[in-house]
Amino acid sequence: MNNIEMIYNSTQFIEKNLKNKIMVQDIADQAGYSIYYFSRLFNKITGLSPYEYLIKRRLSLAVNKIITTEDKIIDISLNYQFNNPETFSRAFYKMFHLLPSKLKTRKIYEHLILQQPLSKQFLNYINQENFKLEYDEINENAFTILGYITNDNKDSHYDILNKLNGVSKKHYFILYLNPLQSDRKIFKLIGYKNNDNHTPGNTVRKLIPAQRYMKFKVQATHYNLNYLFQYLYQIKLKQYYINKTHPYIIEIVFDPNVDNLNKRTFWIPIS
Amino acid sequence: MKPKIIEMESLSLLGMNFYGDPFKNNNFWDEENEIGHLWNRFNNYLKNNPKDFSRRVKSDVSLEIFIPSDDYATHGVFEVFVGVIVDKLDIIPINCVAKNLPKSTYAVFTLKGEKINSDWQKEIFSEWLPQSDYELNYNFNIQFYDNRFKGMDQLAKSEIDIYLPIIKKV
Repeated sequence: MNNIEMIYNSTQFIEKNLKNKIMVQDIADQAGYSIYYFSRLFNKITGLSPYEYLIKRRLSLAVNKIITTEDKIIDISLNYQFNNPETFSRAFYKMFHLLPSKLKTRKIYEHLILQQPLSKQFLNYINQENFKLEYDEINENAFTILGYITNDNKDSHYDILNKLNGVSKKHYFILYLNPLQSDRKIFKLIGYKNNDNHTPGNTVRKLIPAQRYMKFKVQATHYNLNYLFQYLYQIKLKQYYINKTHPYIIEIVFDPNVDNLNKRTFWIPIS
Repeated sequence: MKPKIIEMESLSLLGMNFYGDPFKNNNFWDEENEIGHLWNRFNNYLKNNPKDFSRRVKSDVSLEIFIPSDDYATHGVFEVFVGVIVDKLDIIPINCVAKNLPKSTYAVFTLKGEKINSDWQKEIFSEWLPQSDYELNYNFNIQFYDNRFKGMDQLAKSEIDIYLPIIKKV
């Protein structure tokens, strides 16, 4: 069994015990290592520590319970092994910048970045030898994207771009509107930068506000884009960096002919 | 693993520490964990402030001490101290912390090459210690680095010693 499989098995063990009183020692014992060695390995493979992952998974499931059930927050917190509602609220606020009581009244959670269970495919993707991120912080002025919205995962960009005749075609943009959608139905606006007021036919015009971004260059294909976004939001970007109003990602495609495996450029709004 | 059993007098140490879960997703953008950052912080300070370490002895020795907290088993939280040996703790710079390593019997395990990166804690604590005539005198362990350690990039040629404070079982 390689390290990725071993760590994946540990995440499965954690998943089965989210409502049980387990310690880091139990997770390390189950894997057959000391806490120190296991924690180091877990961090190397996932980017998180075992305890951090356990807590983030519990809090993410608690979000679902708060939204979808009438259960009291005190019961939800005890159910997920928090000693008392205060500890739960503190941990919840630290992860989501929102109190559980507020979530219960507002029931709006689309913007919350939940910790998804780590799949084997995800772990294989982020541990590939050529998975290297180049990043930089940039400031961009406001601009408008004019284009078409699609949820097609295949390369239909040419068709869309061809429909957008008469606009500047230096490079085009893909605006991922719901990048953390886990069922692979990511809605995208594909189009060009365009500051006219004219919105022909079925096109959509989106104003992107002046914004600070974390710019990433990374290798990715259509097939592992979900994993990349999951990694960026749930592991690499700290919560307080992320623009909390609505998670969206912009991709700048400099040449539609480039191979998908080449470095791609993504901007993630940060605060 | 077979250790040497030695008696060691108390030692004064000057260095820096970290308390917490060093493997938690941190604020840095590199891949290093907090222990790596602690070593970088200490080594930079040591290099830039030699006067603060004028009482340093054994100039080729630096050490890392692992001190488990009460929350170690539940949360994976512990203290790591990295530092050097000094003959007297007359000045403790504001950027540093000091430790007195207690006089004790120590079991000294020498780790060579890839063994340095292995799960030696499990071997020592789950295998050697329960079968030995000893128990822990204090709950910490030390990694001693001297000129036998050539760096993580030359692990095959490197050696370090692990010191475990022990006492005979009664």
